[in-house]
Amino acid sequence: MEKVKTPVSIRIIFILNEIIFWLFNLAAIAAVVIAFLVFLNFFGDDLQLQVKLPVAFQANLDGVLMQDNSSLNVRLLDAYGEIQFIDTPLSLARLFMIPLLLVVGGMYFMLSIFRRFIRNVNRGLIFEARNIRRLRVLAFSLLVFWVFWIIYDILMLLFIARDLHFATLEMLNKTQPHATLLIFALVLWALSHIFLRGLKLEEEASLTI
Amino acid sequence: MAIIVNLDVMLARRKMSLTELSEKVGLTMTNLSVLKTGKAKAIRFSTLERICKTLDCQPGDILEYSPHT
Repeated sequence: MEKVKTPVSIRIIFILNEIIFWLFNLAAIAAVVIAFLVFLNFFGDDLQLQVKLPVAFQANLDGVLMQDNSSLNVRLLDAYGEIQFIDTPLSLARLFMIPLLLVVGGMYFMLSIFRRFIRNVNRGLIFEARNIRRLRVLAFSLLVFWVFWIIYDILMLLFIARDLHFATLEMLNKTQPHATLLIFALVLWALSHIFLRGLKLEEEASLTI
Repeated sequence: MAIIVNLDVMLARRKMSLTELSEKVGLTMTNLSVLKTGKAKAIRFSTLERICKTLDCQPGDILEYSPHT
């Protein structure tokens, strides 16, 4: 079968993915080092841990939307944000390092798989059993990631958000569904089936004289 | 597969080698070997036409259906 020239878009994706992968490697190393230092109590009582709060809070703040020369009254109903623990206790800091390491490890794994996949596609090796396997592994990993975030959000709601009290804000029993992750996992799974069909068609074509 | 390719029989009758056939028909040795050994999944009419023209034969001289294979 004649070799098809790799499209420019695939080359761009390959280059961007390489850049993202190596930048992520740096960030991952930094995250692991920080986690290690936290476990060793390197920061002592000076740690100001900041985490994303996956639980919504009710704001009920009135404001104004400026458009051209007119203004429109608006009200901020609820929002998501970040929370900072002032002088974070060591036990809490160590607890948060566990999901951090799991997320970093999981993302590194998925980026590695995708990197190998896109490298093959860039070389023109598209309909291969290895690529189909990688798509399925990616789909499954994203599914596991989705389940992880759902559990993390529920744990944050049960053990942190419910016990948070602010003078002007009220915590809600509302988390995000992270539907994008689930949809992406399903899309990759369907794509693996399409690639399998492509592999069978390519095999048949190569054995057509 | 129930379709048997009798290419080597026709090549022997016409006293032609596989290499010679590949040059005249314009197929690679690899493809002709795939055809000759019965590993091919399909054959194009254009390929069959060129082989029959070169070997001066009918498609039935090259292809045989055997249901018990």
